[in-house]
Amino acid sequence: MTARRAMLAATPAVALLLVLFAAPVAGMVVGSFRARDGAFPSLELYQLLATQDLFVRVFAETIALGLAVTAICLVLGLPLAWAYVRGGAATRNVLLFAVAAPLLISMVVRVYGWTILLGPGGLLDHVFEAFGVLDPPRLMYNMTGVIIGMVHVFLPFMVLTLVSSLVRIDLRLYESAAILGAGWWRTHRTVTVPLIRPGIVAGSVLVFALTQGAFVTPLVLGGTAVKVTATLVYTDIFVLFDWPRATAMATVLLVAVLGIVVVQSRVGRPAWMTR
Amino acid sequence: MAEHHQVGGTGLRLEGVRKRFGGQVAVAGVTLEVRPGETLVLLGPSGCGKTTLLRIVAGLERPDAGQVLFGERDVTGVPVRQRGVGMVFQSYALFPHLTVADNVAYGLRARGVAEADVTRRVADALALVDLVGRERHYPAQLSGGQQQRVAIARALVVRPALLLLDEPFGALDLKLRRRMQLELRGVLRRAGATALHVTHDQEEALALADRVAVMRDGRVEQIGAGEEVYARPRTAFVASFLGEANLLPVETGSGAVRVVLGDARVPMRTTGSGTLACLRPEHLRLSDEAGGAQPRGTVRSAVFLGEATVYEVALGGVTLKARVPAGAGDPLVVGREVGILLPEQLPLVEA
Amino acid sequence: MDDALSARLRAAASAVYVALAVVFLVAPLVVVVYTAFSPVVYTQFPPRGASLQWFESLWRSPQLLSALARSIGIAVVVVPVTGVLAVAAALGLEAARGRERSAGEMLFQSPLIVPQLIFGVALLQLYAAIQLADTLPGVVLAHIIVGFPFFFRAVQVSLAGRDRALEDAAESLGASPLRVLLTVTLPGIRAGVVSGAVFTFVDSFDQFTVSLFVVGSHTETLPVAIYNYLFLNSDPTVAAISTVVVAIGAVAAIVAHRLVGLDRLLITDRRAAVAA
Repeated sequence: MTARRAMLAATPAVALLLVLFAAPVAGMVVGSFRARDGAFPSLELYQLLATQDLFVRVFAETIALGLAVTAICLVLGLPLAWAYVRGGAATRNVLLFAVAAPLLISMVVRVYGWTILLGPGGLLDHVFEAFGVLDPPRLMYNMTGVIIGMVHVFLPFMVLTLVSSLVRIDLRLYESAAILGAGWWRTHRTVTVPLIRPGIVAGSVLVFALTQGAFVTPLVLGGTAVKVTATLVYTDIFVLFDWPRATAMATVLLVAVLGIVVVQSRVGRPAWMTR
Repeated sequence: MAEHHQVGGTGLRLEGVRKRFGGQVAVAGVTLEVRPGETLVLLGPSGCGKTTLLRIVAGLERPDAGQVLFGERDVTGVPVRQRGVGMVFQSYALFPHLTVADNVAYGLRARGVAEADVTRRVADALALVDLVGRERHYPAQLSGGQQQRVAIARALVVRPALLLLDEPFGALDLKLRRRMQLELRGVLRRAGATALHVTHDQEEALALADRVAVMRDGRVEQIGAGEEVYARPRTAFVASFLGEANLLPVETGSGAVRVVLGDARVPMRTTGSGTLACLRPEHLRLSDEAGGAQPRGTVRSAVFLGEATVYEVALGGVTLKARVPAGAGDPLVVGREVGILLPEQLPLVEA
Repeated sequence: MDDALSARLRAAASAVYVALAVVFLVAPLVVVVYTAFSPVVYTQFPPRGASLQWFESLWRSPQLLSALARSIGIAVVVVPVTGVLAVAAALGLEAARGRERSAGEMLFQSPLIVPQLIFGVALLQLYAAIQLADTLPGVVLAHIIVGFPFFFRAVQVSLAGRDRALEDAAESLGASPLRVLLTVTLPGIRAGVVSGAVFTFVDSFDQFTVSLFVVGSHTETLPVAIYNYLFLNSDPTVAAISTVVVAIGAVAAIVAHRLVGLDRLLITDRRAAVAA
């Protein structure tokens, strides 16, 4: 069978994705350049957003939140990824299931679980009481709760990306470093960190991109106190029925996420990496 | 410049080293010695324990029993990074993200050598392995042979007490391998290094070794200079593993030893002890002339190899291999009857 | 500090850290199950008994039960359709080279890169225009698109790792391309297909964000139902149904691990890494 004919097998999938994915998204983006009175092209909606304090502030805060969550996931995830790669079968299995199971359970259920833990009168409050803490910290309906919830949702993605990068490091390099006399700190500084950098970049970009689109976690764990770009979009559509503004916000979000992904594909690969 | 590269000066001694992995015995009690400045090659089939033994010397594995001594120093319990050995791996294990110069400098920097010295010693090491000019390249930009030379330079630049090589040329193609072996021999001589080298390639072993230790099933079966082990193997395994051998049964009786060749009994002077005689294919001469008292056999196959032709000759239910150099007479045709001429003396081996 | 001692300390610290991290990752799931068996409406600790009342309440809750049935039904339809598309796409892409291949890779992975929120908005916009909103076919199509990259990647990894010599051997023995496909290629990627199926089933069953946009009162899927229930009620009946979701996820994890190994599925092979 010629290559051309074999390629035809992919046509149904290509058609489906083009018609029901690429086209609507492109249509939404294009439509956001239409003014409320129908004039096209027009930057009216974007001018509106730019002058709206609320949107600009929330957009910036969402980025800050995303950076914070990404940083926390990185710090927490690196030792876990290392423990996985260097660990025995038991450690690996335990970590694998602990990381994979949340991914296979609906986000709504996970967030619900956090409300039970973090909410006022929730499990953690009881635990604080049992330890005699009289004024337990508020962990829900505020940024803290949102960060906890988001770290929980996105940590598996970070860990899996880091592990993918770490497993490719030849173990013989560590043997070489030991034979050449390098201690623990020098070995990690000169071998692990440079070699895991692509994984760190990939994991961070992935998690950051995911945080920008997240809205269930901020909505449920943040309540009215925490607004993110995603919740603004949601509110615009389901509460205010302001579709045009919603599509403009969505387009801004899309461009931001795609922008980071594009930057990563250029920057993420250092010169010495052949594959 | 020579004294910058003087390494070894210490010898290595292994006393009763044992190691098992789970239920498998990898090293079953090895005692041997590598003299200062000598290259000892551990030769054996895969699974014979040679690599495990090497890793024990490096400190990458701990022996269950026995001792490892560098000179007078017992290093059995000393961790890897304090042993001061150099190691060259089959897969090179070069740091892919560091330049050639930084790779070679790695061990020096880990030891806190002053930068000025580092630069000088790296340059000397690269000159030793003939890689001047490649300092700023990355491993991925080099060929296999070049990468291996960087690995050798990196291991030698720190002046290790002992150089360990784990099938360093296994990943290279044949011609390159042969060339690298000769180069390595030169490098080791110039550096005066004490080296322990592991390989399953018997040609490599003979080319590089001052002495060869043939290993099987976790034990050293025979150890000695290459010529010695080749000319006087002690067991059938050593005879067959190092080179090729026709193993012929022998009879003893009335004070004389006779080699059994089909129906013929050929009296023979022998060395060593054992139940088989080791006849190397290159020592078996075939005669095309009729007559004569020699045993006669039939040529079963002839394979032309360029510098020699290998014949299989059958007689009395036995097949012998003969290796006749090119130019030593006309080629023999398959099916022809030939006379078989044995040398005057053969070594005896244990089965 | 002695080398061996510091190594032991590090190992101990690592073990403690891993244990804490595992507790963190698993906590909300454990808590949900814990609540489902609670004897009282409010959160109680330490627990004073267990009760099945919330499961009984769930049994008597038509909204949640019908949402459960609907979600399962949708997933059952989504999986085979996505599977056929994904296998065909992986086979087709394998034959492609250069620019066409990268473009294909990008398109097939794009639902992973574009935030689901945005896809939800765009899709709802389209659906509203062609009256597909709040219809089962509309939801099924949405799930197929979102689940496609997972199935595709699972099949692609399996495809890349197969022994091509088997197909060459079959061809040399005279088998037609179709016969080779059916009797050699497809059985060879069985592991990838089955694990892709398991993941896509769970993905459709759990799918929330996009569903929230395209679902309506007639087509409420379980995650959306749970979400709505949360806002209206605060009794732990929702914990009972959530326990069902947790159970299904746990079973899926075990099945996928038995079949292919979760590590092989989740830790990406170089050859099948996301193109972006």
